[in-house]
Amino acid sequence: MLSDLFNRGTRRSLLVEINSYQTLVASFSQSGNGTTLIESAGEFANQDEGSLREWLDGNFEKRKTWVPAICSYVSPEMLLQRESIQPRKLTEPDYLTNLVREQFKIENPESWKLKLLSPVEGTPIPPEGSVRPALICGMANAEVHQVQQRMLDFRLMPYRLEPGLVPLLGALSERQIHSNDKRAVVVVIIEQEHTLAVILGKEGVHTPTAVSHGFSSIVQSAAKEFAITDDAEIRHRLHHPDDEVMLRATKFVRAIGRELKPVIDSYEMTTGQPVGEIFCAYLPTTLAWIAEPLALVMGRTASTFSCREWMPGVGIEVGPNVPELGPHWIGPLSLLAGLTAPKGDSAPPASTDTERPWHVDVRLSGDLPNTKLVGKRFFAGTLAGTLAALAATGAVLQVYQTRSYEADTVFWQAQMAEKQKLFDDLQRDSRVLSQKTARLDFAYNLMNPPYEMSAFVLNLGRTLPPHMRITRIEGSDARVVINGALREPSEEASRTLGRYLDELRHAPAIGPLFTSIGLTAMQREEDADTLSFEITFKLKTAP
Amino acid sequence: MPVMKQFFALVARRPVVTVLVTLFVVLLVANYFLWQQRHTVTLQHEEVVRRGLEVAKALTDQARTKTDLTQLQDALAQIDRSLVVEGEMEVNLGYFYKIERLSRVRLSQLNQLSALPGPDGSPYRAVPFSMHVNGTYAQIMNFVHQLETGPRLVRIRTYSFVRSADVKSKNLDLDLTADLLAVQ
Repeated sequence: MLSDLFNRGTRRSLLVEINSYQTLVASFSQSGNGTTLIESAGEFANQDEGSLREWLDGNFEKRKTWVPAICSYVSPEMLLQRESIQPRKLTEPDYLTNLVREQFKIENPESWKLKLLSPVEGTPIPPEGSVRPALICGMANAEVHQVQQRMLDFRLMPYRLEPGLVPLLGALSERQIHSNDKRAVVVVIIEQEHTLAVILGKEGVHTPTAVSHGFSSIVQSAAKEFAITDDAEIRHRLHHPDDEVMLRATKFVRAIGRELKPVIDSYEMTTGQPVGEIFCAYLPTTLAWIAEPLALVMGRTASTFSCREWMPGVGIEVGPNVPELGPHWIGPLSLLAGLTAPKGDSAPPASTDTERPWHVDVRLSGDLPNTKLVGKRFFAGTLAGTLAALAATGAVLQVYQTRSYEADTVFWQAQMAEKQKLFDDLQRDSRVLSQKTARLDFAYNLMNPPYEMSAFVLNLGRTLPPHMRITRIEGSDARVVINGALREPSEEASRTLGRYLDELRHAPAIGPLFTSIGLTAMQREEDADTLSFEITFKLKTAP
Repeated sequence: MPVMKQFFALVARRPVVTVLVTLFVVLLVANYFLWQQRHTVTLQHEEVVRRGLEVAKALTDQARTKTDLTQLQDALAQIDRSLVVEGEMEVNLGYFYKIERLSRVRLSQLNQLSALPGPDGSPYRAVPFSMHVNGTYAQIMNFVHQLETGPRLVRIRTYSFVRSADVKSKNLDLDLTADLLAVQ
């Protein structure tokens, strides 16, 4: 606890190797001087995700954040072939993919992560120079994606994802150089259905064709030998070898050894370099016994490569609580050799080709979360929260408004119910009023006179000028015509008539009743001083 | 179903966002139904308020309506009292003769003419009469005035007012057609 307090700057990371047999995990931290300390380690069957998760929970307390992880993945489908290439043509975009398609019958190399390494130094090959051998290393993107996703599901952030065999070859090559051993080393990888031998010699890595016998052939041989038909039972026995198994071990591995031997011999014949040790990679502790009989069948010696001796030379230390790590740990630990620690919460660096020799990062950086992950998650959470809050506010507002309207509606309905009788009476009165008004309108339209005749005639009489005499008044619905005579000289009579007409038009009791009042006839009579006239009044209400 | 598997893995990795998004979707659906409910309630409310305002306005006009109705009933009662019956010619002509007597004119001709049917739905019709009246200016004006303001509703349609043919006489002749309001 106290040490944790003083080591806040040191962040623990995880080392993971997934191979055909098991998943190896180790927590490690790096000190300032570059030493890597393995603090804990565990081995789990590939299917046992529960135990792995439990181990991770126990070793990494802050499991809510991403745990930086260095990953090694050993795939039976991985491409690792020595091939002559023209580095100059590497600038052509399709050169490598076409080469892979033609040479290794890979249908869609565009969806593969391909790297070229020097088979001797393990360094990337620059796109220049003449024909030279190269180690073509590749993994299908789909497979990489699957591994990455599996890591992410465990909340592990892959800072590196390497095809496991390459750093192992690097570690073995380094050891060969340091031990000054002139003999080649054969790395044997026994998969379920085939066995791959990679020869590490003075001319670098050689990749002979894989042999068609794998661990299944060992199982079959053992089953035949012990007359056991149950596959699980024989596998269990092989994983827990007793004396009888060890006694007959050479028989079990004979099929593999018999096919590998000519491959090795051929290498020796071709290159003139003798082959020394056989290193069986990735075999779990329970199957480590296979290495010795296999080497024996091939007429070689099994590797004595020990993690304990190798680790100090590459800056790796093992904590006091870690059990002894077997040779199968060299694969994953080789990823840590000369490694610079991933820094805290920084983004997982994109893979670069200017990295350590014998190390190839095949991560699909685009598929990985980055430092903006928290931001993105925070943003997504905030956005979703805001939207949810808005939706909730909207819902509350709508409920409030609905309730408010309902209450108001109830109030109005109560008010109306209270006044309903009064309103009904009033409605009835209104209907009666309308009916009676219609009746009155009928009477009015029939009997309403445009003017009162007696009043009109009396008013007309009051306006008569001197010397004027009315002889006839005729009235109808459209007009009123009056005829008369004016006993005055013509000139004066015409002036008198003009004035009279004006007077009629402006008389309040006469003028407003008519649209026009005009002289429609005027003539002198036999008597020279008498002028007869006719005045027509057009009614406003004329049809 | 790898898609479903990926989906559930995503949900497991983002529980908070998943819950919030689910909540948002649920609330969105709830909002839709609440909006529909609110819309219905709003329409009901508008209808009730409209009717309520109508009632309030009607109740405000109650006094005026009552007054109007009373006045109208009086007017109609008056009209009903003044109505004549087309078939009762002797009564109708007698009305004119009564006025003749009071105004001292002479009704030399008095005829009840055929009445046209009233407008559709009308409870009334107009019964026309034609008459020739002789008398002094004052007598005739008195006659016309009594006709216009008498107990029967009369509308004078046409008239012709001339001096009498007898030059020595100061009498006037009046040819007049008038309608009396009658029941339909």
